[in-house]
Amino acid sequence: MLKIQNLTKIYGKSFTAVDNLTLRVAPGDIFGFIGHNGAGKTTTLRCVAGILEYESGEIFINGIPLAEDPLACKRVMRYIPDNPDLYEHLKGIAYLNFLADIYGLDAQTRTSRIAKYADAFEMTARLGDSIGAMSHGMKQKMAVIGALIGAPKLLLLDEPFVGLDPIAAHTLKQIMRDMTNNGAAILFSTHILEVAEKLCNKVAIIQKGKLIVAGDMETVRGDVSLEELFLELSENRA
Amino acid sequence: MKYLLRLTKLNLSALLSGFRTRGKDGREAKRARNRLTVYIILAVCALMMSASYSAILAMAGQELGNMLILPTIMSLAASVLTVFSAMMRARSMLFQNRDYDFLMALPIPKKAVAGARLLAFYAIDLVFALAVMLPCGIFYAIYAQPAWPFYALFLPAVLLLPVIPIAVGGLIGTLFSALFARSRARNIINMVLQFIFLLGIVILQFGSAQFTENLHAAAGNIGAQAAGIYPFADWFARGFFGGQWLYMLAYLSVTLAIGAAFIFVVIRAFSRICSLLGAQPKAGKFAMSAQKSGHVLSALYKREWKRYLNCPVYVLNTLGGSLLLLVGAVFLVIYRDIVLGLAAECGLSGFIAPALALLSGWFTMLSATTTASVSLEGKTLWLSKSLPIRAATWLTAKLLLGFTVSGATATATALFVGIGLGLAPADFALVFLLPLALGYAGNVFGLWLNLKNPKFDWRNETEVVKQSMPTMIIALGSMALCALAVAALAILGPLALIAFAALCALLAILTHASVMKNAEGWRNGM
Repeated sequence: MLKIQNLTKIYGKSFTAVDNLTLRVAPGDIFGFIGHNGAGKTTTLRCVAGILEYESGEIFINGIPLAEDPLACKRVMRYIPDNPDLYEHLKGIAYLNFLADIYGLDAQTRTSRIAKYADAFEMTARLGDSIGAMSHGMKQKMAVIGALIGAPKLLLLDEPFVGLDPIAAHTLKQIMRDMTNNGAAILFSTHILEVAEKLCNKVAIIQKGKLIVAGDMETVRGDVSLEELFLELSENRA
Repeated sequence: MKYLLRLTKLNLSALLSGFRTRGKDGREAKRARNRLTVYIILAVCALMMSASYSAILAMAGQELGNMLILPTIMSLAASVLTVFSAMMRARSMLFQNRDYDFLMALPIPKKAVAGARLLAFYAIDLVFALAVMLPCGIFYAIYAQPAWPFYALFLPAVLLLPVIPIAVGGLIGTLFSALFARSRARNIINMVLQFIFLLGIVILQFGSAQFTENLHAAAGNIGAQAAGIYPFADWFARGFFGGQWLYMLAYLSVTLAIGAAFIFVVIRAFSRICSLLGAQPKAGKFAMSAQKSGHVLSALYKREWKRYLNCPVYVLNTLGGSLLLLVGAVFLVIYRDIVLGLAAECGLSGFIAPALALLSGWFTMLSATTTASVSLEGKTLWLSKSLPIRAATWLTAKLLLGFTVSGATATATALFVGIGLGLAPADFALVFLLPLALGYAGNVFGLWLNLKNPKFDWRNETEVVKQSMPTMIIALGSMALCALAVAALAILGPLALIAFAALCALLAILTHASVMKNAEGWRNGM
């Protein structure tokens, strides 16, 4: 579903944020992407989402090269950033309808999906409010609902559980499992290693822009916990 | 005191960050230099305008034997500008919420936070005051040849001048914002009230002025009216320019009293006002119902409209001038016999339509919304870049908003004036088409300028709507273009305006095509 080959992203003239990264996310994968602060997780996700240009490498989404046909790639994927900067001047329902128009959803489909996900995240009563009036957690839920109504085949999430209450976090995890059971792929970054351990079938660890290890959770982890592995790798690289 | 100075430095540094090149890469550094260049040019133009008015008033004052009309009128002008500026910025600068939580959580006295914002607020209006009063002071010194106290007191006088207007404007702006903080219609109410205030100022200034051929009488009348409207301008002029100590003491006392009262109120009520203004409209109870589908372009266009209407300073900055022009057109039609008679007396009947067309064209060009529409994406730019939206469609929606706004005002003015004055078909076509062409050009060039010079890290919308380089260039450029058109009209006659409109439209079409062709490249580079 997602193929990243030799991705390199340099900021300014000298800071290499992502260095020759190669990664594959197959349909059905919930791929955890972990690393220390400033490791290059967000940069990688933003490059895949088509937000950032990159110096070298190739990104394929559903077999389509992102550089050649970004529109086709963006039609099948959605990105949810760590900071939910949404259109604060729009009401929640107006924001979702805006996205539904962009995705090309007909009236019936958008109504049922908006109702389904707004109910799941207990946001229905708040859809009439301005996004600017919502709390951080509510904005995060709006960002998630907005992504899900498009039924993406690839979902990119940057620290999705930050700001979500326990019920919403549980709901999101369930939705992620349902999506991947239906053939979608998910790549998400997180600092909460316990969540990654329980949720993900695959994991990649990135440090200072370089991929240290990637693969099946059981293979990568071995007999230790993900936290112990991460700390060990961090000490070795330091 | 140390917190006050540090925070003031921080606030001023944030205001000036757009001009700094250190720490920025090549493209950003170049943009910062360009921005600074444009601001310097604007400052020079403002100084030249102020100097022209000062020179005319100085000459009139000398002939009338009353030099004080110069500082009276110019200090009134500076005060009006300051009131309006303070009104518009009270909420976004004095009581803005962006870093409020962060600062209040730090071990910094609240009065230092409030005081620092007041100082930065004052600094901006001091720039306006200096721009108006420096030429005034120079011409007064040349023509009146005052005694030495004038030179010693001039700078302190200019430093004091913005205090009363800031207090008045700040109070009005805060009251309006507070009254409607929790209302869903607060933005629209805010816009309407500010427009009414602006209209009031214009009517006060010109409503009772006698239009005569005698400049001296006119200057004397305006001077008397200025003193009547704002007595403090008269006290200021008599005290600091005329050397009348009692007036100076009176002005000083009132200024210090009002200034102190304003500072006291702001500092005491700072937290309450910030919380109140940060309040959001009451949460409603939404019930899900069947939704309607739409198209990508209409969705983007609707979003642009909502963004536009959500920002009072954006609406007023683009539409304010055109609406005033429309009001002027109403008065023109009401007093059509006087206007047409005067024009006939001066042999200018044939220039009414071209003059109206150029005036309308200038204001229509100034109403370009696109100079800020890309920058206003701000932190939400990631949405436009990650969603399956063609960059050309994204930009087209912005242009459509601009065309709607400028087209509507140009059409309304043309219809009103054309029918009201009974213009001949050719004249009507000129009054209709020239503003449309300039409005189109203004929006296309505005968009191109904003694509070349976007600014996404703004702290409040005023930075990109009023103070950005694209806005300044369109403001200056439209003036320069219309001045060229006036010269062409004077030399070659009304046909020159048709050629001018066609040329502007052609250049705009070529720019439009180029922008759309490279739309993806523009967006990817942001």
